[in-house]
Amino acid sequence: MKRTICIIDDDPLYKLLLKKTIERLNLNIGVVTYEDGKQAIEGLSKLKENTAQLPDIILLDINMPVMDGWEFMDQFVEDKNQFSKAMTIYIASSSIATHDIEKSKTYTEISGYLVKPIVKNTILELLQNKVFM
Amino acid sequence: MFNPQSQIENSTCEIKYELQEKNIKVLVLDDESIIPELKSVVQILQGYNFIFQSTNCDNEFKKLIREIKPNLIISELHINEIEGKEQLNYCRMVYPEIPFIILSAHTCNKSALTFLEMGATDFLNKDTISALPATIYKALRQSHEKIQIKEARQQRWEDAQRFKGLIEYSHDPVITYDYDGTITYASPAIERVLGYKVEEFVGTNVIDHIHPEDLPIRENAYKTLLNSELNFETINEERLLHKNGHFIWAKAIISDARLIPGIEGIMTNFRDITIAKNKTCDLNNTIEILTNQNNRLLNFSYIVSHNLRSHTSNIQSIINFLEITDDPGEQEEMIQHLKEVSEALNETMTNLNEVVSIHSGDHLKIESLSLRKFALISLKTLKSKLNAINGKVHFNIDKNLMINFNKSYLESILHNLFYNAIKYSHPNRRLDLEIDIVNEDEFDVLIVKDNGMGLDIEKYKNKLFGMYNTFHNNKNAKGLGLFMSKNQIEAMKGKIEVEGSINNGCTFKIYFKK
Repeated sequence: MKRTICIIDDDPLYKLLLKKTIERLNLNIGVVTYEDGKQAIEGLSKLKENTAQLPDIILLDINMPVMDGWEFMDQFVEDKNQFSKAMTIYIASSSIATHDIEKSKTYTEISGYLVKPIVKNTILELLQNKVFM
Repeated sequence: MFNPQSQIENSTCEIKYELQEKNIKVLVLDDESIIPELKSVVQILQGYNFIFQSTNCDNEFKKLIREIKPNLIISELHINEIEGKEQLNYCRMVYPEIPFIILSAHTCNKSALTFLEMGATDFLNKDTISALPATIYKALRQSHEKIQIKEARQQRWEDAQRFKGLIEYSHDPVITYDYDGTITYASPAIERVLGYKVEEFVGTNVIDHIHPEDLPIRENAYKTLLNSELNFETINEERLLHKNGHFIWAKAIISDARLIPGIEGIMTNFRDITIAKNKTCDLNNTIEILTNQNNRLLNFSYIVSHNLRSHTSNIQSIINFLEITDDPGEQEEMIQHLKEVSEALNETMTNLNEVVSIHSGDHLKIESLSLRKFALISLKTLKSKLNAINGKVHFNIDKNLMINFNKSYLESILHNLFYNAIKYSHPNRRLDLEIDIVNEDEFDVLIVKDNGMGLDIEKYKNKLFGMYNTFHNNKNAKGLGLFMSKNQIEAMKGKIEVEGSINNGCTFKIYFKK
């Protein structure tokens, strides 16, 4: 079964490099990207009943224009029951601030906190559900 | 409230009608022969023990009075009246409280009147000696009352002196005033605290000594006082005008003494708290400075954590790729990315450096600048952009208004504000930009109001002036302008505020310290 990873981030270079990293795994993983939280919410809600196209894993940045990672989470918590598929969300941020890590723990919907850069092995572990808080 | 006046009144003893003294010493001015008769007469006064002593000699009489301190003097009046008069005079002068009863051998109403006029307690004829016990009883009681009244008066005088002293020597001033505010009394401490002599202060009105801005506090205090169960009210701080023209800080306690005899008005005691107040002010200023510095530090660490690390993590990723790839094309691509990151990192570093230099800028040159002139220049440089969107500017800054500011900061701030208004103008309506000045206490406030896209201010208030925060999908936005402006304004002791909502434009207020 083809799996999909969704990247929500405003840094084009990061997205490009991460996409490359995932492609190199040759595991037939689809990648969708969104510029910011707002676009992600809009994009995902269009797919809400399309189980096949909804991502399995979401990698969410914190600092983004328009709607940041936390605002995305607040909206997502409200909307989550509409989605036909359970998606695993990870924060993927360059921030190593304790404040951000602690805040991520306040959302039960967030499965883990990843510090950029995201390397090949991390992706593999994510796919095996081996990453925890 | 503690009430010294009623304390004095209460100290006046209750007068009893039964004699407390049971041993009655009687000094008889006559020879001893009369004593048995007197003894038998006073037997009727049961429960009292009479001790009689008699003398015929004037000198001995005076000596005995001094020594035995009799409760009563009985003088036998013979034909020669002169002797008795002398002793009576002497006793009235020296021992007015000792009753002096005349017992006369013959009836003479005229001399009886004369003796009574001279101060004798009573005048009895020997024929009516049976009335003596009642006369003695009455005389002793009156004497006792006299002594008590005298003692009470003494006590009262001492109390009054003591309370007067307490107030007069108190370090903190006490004043009383009528309901209309006319000062009726001021303690000498008023000179130490407000510089006025007591006689200068009395007669003036309380209102003239209070800072006009603090009068509402007073009015409230009076209202509370008059409606309250308590008859005092505390004003924790108010400014009072010193004779020299400066204001001091005082803590005052106002007491309702309208029903207190001798005051019949409002009483206020107050304490000069200027030193403590100034210390608190200094402390608060220090706290504010520290809080600001701490916030900037937190902000800075956040910037480092997010913005610098985003570049370094990209560099790490690129290097990972370079390590595993043999494809020259991919290697070339990665090198290209590395250059981009390096440039971005460099730009971030430059920006951070600029922020740091804003706040370490003690050496910054501050000039008196015409706000109108600089605003006009700034608008001129944006003229083509304004014309492109057909924008209109309503400009209203007094040409005489000068502000003390760093020139390049002012240029940068004004450019930022006006450029933002153009950049975020509403696509469906012509830009109307209103620029005004308002005078607010210690600030000249520049108000820049646009009718552009606006922003959910409540939501973004904290982020709006943060570094690298952008809010619209505008590719040109770097999230730096307002951050820099805020830092520059704060470095010049001013502040920036914003109001607005989505689709309704924004109003920026820049507070320039006068």
